[in-house]
Amino acid sequence: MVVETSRNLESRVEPIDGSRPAAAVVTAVADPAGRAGVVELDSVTKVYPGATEPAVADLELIVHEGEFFSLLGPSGSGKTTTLRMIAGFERPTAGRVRLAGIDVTSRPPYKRDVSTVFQSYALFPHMKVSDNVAYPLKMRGVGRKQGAARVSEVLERVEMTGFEKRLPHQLSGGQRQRVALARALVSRPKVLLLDEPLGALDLKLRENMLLVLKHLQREVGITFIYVTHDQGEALAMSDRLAVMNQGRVEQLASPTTVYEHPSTSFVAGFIGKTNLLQCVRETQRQARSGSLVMQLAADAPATDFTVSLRPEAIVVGEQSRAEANHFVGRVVDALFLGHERELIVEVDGRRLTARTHASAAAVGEELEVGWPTASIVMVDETGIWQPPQDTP
Amino acid sequence: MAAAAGHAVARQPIGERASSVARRTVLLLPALVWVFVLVLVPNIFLLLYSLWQNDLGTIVHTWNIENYRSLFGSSVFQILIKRTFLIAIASAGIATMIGYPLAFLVVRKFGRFKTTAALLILVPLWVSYLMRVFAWRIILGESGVLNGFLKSLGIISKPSGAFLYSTTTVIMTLTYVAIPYVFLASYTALERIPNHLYEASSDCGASPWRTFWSVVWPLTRPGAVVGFAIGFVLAFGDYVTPSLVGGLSGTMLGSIVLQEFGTADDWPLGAAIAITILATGLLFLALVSFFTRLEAQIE
Repeated sequence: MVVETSRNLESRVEPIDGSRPAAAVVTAVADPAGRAGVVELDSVTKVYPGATEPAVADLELIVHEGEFFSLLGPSGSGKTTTLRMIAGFERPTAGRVRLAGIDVTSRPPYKRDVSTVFQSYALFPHMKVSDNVAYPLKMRGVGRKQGAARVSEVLERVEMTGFEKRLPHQLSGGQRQRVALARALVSRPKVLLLDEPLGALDLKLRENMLLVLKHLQREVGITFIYVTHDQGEALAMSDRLAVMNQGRVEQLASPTTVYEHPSTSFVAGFIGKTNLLQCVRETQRQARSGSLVMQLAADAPATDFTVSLRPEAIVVGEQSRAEANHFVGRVVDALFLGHERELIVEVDGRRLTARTHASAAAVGEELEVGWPTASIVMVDETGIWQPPQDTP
Repeated sequence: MAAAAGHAVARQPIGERASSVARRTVLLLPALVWVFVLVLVPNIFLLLYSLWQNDLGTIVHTWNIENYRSLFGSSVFQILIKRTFLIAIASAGIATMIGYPLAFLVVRKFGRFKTTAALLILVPLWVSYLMRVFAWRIILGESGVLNGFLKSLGIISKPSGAFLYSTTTVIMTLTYVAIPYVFLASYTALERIPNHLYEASSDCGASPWRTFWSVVWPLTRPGAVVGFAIGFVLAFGDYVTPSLVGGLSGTMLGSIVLQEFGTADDWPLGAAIAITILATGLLFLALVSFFTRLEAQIE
């Protein structure tokens, strides 16, 4: 099936329970809080020289003031290219970029009121921490005295007081990241762009920095645009997020909506684990996948369609008898995950992944499973995300 | 007790350590022999000769610094060393002013053609030094390309000898000789600067001009200076260029070293001049590297 453009996502069918908020529509014009769009991308397309496929295709995006906005997607989905076009490092092949209502499409980065935190930190290796942080102020003609006060203030904010005289290579990765953050914040930009800022840090440090970032964003109140391929980070941090795939936005919504009501099969598979079932319409409110027939809460949208069913939505054991969809399957695989178990259950020839802590069923045993009709989310077929293969 | 035991375990076994030292020595040996036989020994001889005396073509093995004293007392030597120094500084300086921006241009603007461009600039290094200098005679000589061109334009009526045999000619030729070296040193330094530093600087509000002066130049200055120093040392000891295109007013120290070892047959005096050139070069390199040390580490 063809990948949908951001435009016809607007006119797509409402989800089964009809509860999808307006924000899920890609071109969300009005913000519920009435905030202005601080970054606006107007049908932006980027085709790199020599490339046949566009890195970003016809992108419509409005980021509101004070928002923590994430661009989430696998590598090559166009999220970094999008960020670089906002920063001014890349020029769109077509379309306009507006910052606070002003068209900046042809402005170089140094004439834009945005700051970037680079994945590689990009600290100036010959400058001390204090000089690195003071650099944007110096370039914008802020006086030395006033500048020094702001430098020490922002270093305090990222908990790097006392490191002023160090050179970047004398700092650890996490410390460099904090300095990079301080340098980006010191000029008080309208928008802070973060390009996988935690990508180079190890897990523990990353969790710590996530909190630092989140608190910082609340305190300083500036708009954050955060690029990541880590769905956990994006869900935890964002007010809204755009899930990108092959240069297009698959879904733009709040983390809860994206998780609970993925609009495409790609989003469903990329964010968390899910069971994707290709179905045909049996009756108006009945879908058949293979020989598995299930009840729907709403009319089937087409003769062929795909549904997503989260592993944790599947109820196992006797409790499942209360559900509209109730089956008896056989456990073909079981994984102990600590806080819960993951069971692969074969139901009418379909293998479903369920997460539970209610069942001690062993491999080969029969198991009752069921799920409410409301947990079946109809998604547009945009392919299934495959995790990168572990090649030697 | 436990700490002491742990310490002992952490250490390498004695036998293994000895064998690794032995292996390192063996691996280093060819290089050491090379340096000793081809660099150290000849220079030691040079130093010894400079401390001996010449008596009508035979060497008298008395030790004193008479050669140096007469050298530095001679007004001709003083003029020559001053001129040589100025010529070397000028040609290395001009070569740097051409070679560094050229390297910047190639690294930043040539994209995937930058290696090709760099190779093309370095091609002259494959041609014999003598040939390269001789080429300038063909260009600048009385029956040369430049004269022919000017004559065909009617600017001059008969060939001019003014282009050849002057200090300017020597500076020009030595500049030409030094450019590839400055280019190479600058290119290597500029190539090491990752693109994200340019982007970060621009992102911080710096125009390309300010980015250059506050980020690029401080990080690549050592490379440019190394190129400058190579150019200086090459020019300071050269005798081919002055003898081919220099004439009388282009004579340099290197020319009289050749004279003393050749026609004048005064090896001790020649050795003293050679040692002076060598010492000046080393001193210059030491000063230059001292003042352009870079504490930074580029990731």
